[in-house]
Order: sequence, then C-alpha cells, then structure tokens
Amino acid sequence: MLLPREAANAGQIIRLVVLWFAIMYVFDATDAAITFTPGHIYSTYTFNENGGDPGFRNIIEYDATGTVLGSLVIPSLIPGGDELNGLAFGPDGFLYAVVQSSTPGFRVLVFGQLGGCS
Amino acid sequence: MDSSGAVHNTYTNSSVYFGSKKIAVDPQYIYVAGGNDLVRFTVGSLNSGVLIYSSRDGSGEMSDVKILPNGHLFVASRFQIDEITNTGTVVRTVASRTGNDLVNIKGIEYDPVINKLFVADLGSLDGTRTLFRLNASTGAIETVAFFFYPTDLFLTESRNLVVGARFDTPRVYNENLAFVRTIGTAQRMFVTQYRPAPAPTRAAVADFNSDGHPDYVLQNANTRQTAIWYLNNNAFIGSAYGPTLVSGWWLRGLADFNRDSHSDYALFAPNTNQTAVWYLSGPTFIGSAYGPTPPSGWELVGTADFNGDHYPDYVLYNAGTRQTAVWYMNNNVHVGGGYGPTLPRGWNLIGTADFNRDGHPDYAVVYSSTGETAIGYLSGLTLIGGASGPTIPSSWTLAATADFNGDGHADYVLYNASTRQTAIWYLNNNVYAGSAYGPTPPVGWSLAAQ
Repeated sequence: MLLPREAANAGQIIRLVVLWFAIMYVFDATDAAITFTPGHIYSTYTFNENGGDPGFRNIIEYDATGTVLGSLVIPSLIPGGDELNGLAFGPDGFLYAVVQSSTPGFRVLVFGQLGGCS
Repeated sequence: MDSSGAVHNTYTNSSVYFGSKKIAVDPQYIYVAGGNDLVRFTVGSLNSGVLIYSSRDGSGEMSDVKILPNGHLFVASRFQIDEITNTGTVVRTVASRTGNDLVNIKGIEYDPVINKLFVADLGSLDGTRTLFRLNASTGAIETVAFFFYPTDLFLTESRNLVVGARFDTPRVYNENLAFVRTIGTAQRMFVTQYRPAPAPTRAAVADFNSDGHPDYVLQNANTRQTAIWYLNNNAFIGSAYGPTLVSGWWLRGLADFNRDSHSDYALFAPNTNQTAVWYLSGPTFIGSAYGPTPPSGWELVGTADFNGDHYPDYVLYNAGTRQTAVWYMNNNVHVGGGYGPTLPRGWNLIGTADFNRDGHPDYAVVYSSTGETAIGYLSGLTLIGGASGPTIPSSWTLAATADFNGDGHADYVLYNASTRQTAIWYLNNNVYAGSAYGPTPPVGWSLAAQ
C-alpha cells in the first residue's frame, strides 16, 4: 500500500505521463519553419473550444508520403482565443486559412512565400 | 509563408458564424463555409465579405464549399449538397440524405476528370460508412468506406484523397476509397496540398518559308535540337532541322529582328535574365547577338511590334506583380518602352496577335485551371477593352496565337502535352469559328517552347 506522499507522487507521475502523451499526440512535430513546396501537404486542427492550445494555432507540413517535416505556430494568433480552421492555396500561390476566435465573426489570413506579398 | 509565419493580408467578417469553417479560393473570390452560411470575399478587398447562400436543409449547418471548373460551386450542408452559381443561385441539388446515409456531412471534394463527388460524413446510422464516392451528375452512391469522424477532404495532384479527421491521423485513400497510407502521427482536421499553377505552355509559331502560313518550331527535350515543321494552314507539308539551343537558354519568341525577311529566335536565360537573338535564314543559323537584360523578377515571354516601327519588340512579364511591359527594340537594341496592363490573378499571357484587326497586337490570356481564355485589346500599350474567348477543354492548353487560315484573324494553337497532338481553333476576333487537328510531333519532341 502506498503512503499518502508516494500516492501523490505516483499521481503526479501519471499526470505527467498522460500530459506528455497528450502533447506528443497533439503537437506531432517540433516547431520548425515550414515552406511552400509543390506536392507537400499541410494541416490544421481545431476543437471549437477556443482552448488556445498551440496545436490549434499551428500549421503542419508533410511530404507527399506523409512524413512530418515541420510545424509553425502562427505568432499573430491569440492563445486561448484563436483557432485555425480550413485552409486552401489560392491560384496566386498564397495560403489562405480561416481563423475563428472567441469574438463574433472570423478572419481569413493570407500567407505568402518568402518575401512575397499580396 | 516565410519562416516567421508573417501574415500578409487579413480578410475579416464580423457576423456570427458558429462551427468549423472551410475555405475555397479562385482568382476572383474567396469562399468561406461555416455556421449556416456561405460568405464570399472579393480577392484584394479585405472587408468585402457578403452572405451569398445559406443551408437549405433545415439543419443550420454549412460544412464545405468546392469550386468547379465552370466557376460554379458545390456547397455541402448537413444533409444536402447543392450546386450553385458564384452568386448563390441554386442550380440543382446534387445529393441529399438517403436512408441511413449522408446524415451529417462534414466535407466534400470533387474530381472533374471522372465527375465524381467525394463526401466525408460522420456516419451512417448503422455506423459502417463515413466516406462516400458519388456520381456527381446523379448523386448516386457508388463506393463507401469507413474512417472514424472524417472532417475534410482534398484531392491531391496524384488524384488521391487526403482525409482529415478529428480523432485520428489524416489518411490517404485512392478514388476507389481504398486506404493508401496515414499522414503524420497526430489527429488533424483540415488538410490541403500545395499545387502551384503549372507554368504556362507557350509554343513558337512563325512563317519560316514565306508562304504566308505560320509554321511550328519543335524542340527535342533531350538534345535541345529544334526543327521547323512547315504547315499549309493545319497541314504538314515539310520539315527541316533548326539550330540546337544552348543549355540554360529557352526559346521565347520568333520574329524578324534584322529585317531580312526571315524569322529569328528570341532567347531567354532564366538564370541570368540575359536575352539573345539568333538570326536565321530559313532554318539555318547565320549569327547571333545579345539583347538587353530585363531586371530581376522580369522575364521575356513574347515578341511583337507594338510601336509600329516594323521591328519586333520584347514582351516582358513580372510574375510577382503580374505586370507586363514592352521594350521597344531596334533589332537587338533596346530603344524605349513602357508598362502594359497587369494581368488578373491566375491568368497567363500566352500570345500577342491582332485579334480585332485594328493594327495593334493584343494579348491572348488563359486561366489555366479552367481553360477559360480572354483577349485583352490594346492600342499600343494601353488596354482599351476585353472579351472572353472560347474555353479550352481539359487536357489541352492554349499554346500560341497566329493566323493559320489566312482570314486576317488570329487563331488559337492548342496542344495536348500527353499525346503531343496539336489543333487549330479558328477564331473570328474572339469568337470560335471552327477547328482542325494539326500534326503530332514524334516521341521526344514537343511543341512547347519552354
């Protein structure tokens, strides 16, 4: 039988392990820079709870085989308020991503290539 | 995106729209589906969002939007998929809840090549089907598969489906809905792929044998050898080898630069931005000279006489700004010029020819992803009007413009890169007036100049 302090420690360890796996599962990648590369796949995630988790504010890049190449938290998004939704590349080569937040309405962010503008 | 994730533009809409949102973008508009509604923005106008459509199935849920090649939209609400115009007018209902299926639609994708509509659904009522392939004309369900809580679909360039999911890693399925692979290691709901618009295909056509009919210049992709195919209208009547291009240089125009009544090659080196003229007598190389070097960001895309001095001029294009410019030339020497019109987003300049017979060359432009064409009428360098041209069918590209049947109106040269088949579309100004197949280059040879 565990002493109260040991039980507390064990509970803390379990919580840390659960948190670690939760982080691993949600984040998927280091927060490295991403690029626009033909054939690569990009993803976002939301849970409609405006939790502000970095996993709801990042874009992940994969190669065509599905290997994660990097992810990037969009700095301008507000933790606890903004979450990325659907995304699409325009024929102009820019990436368009919808942001929903805790305030009414939504935004569409436009990202360009290095040095690009729109 | 740059490495900092800097945002270059932000479109805003302050209306209340609940739920996840999907987005689709074409050269003119941005469509956002979410809540009960579909909102349309005009590209470049940040506060232009207007409500153009709301779900019609009583669910109060709009789940996805996809743009069709004809500019119409497929829009999905919870129980129903409609085809609408880009102003929101309903064209037809494509599919709707059928018994236990299509009970909570979350995403759609469309493949115009096989006319199939793919649907991500939260699940049939018996819990065995969440992915559907439908006949896009009839709405009939053809194939089904199961993947828990799919939320988004995207058709890749290899024509597989990437499926995002709320509680699982994204997956790839083929168009028969057979599982191919997983994507990454974590659940991700929204997916897309970077598929930049292909570089425009421009062919080189000019009259090399002075018979009044334009001829084809072919190029061997491996050896860089060129060849002239002499044509009488659309009919092959003979051929001759031309010079072999130097590595790093590309043929960007054909015109008589030294006014010896023979067409010459205008060449461009993308790595250095240098230009050159190769002088020909018929198909025979007789000399060369460097031309002026466009500034960084600009490229040589064509030649035509814009200032009426009977010397061909350079047509330049800046892909970053979509601005065009013309450099007036005296043989290979730059003697002046100015800016031409800026092309709309997604459109490519393919040819310069006098379509309205006013004595001034005009621009023929194409929107490659739909095949739509248009003529920009110019007076000198000034855009004075525009008109839609015929739409090029899928698998074909608009490759060049010239008057093949001698009626005084420029015609379209079409090219099918897969089969190497060529065709002439005869035009009366901007109006389609007939067509004929042209000759097909042999294996290894291409009509494309770049």
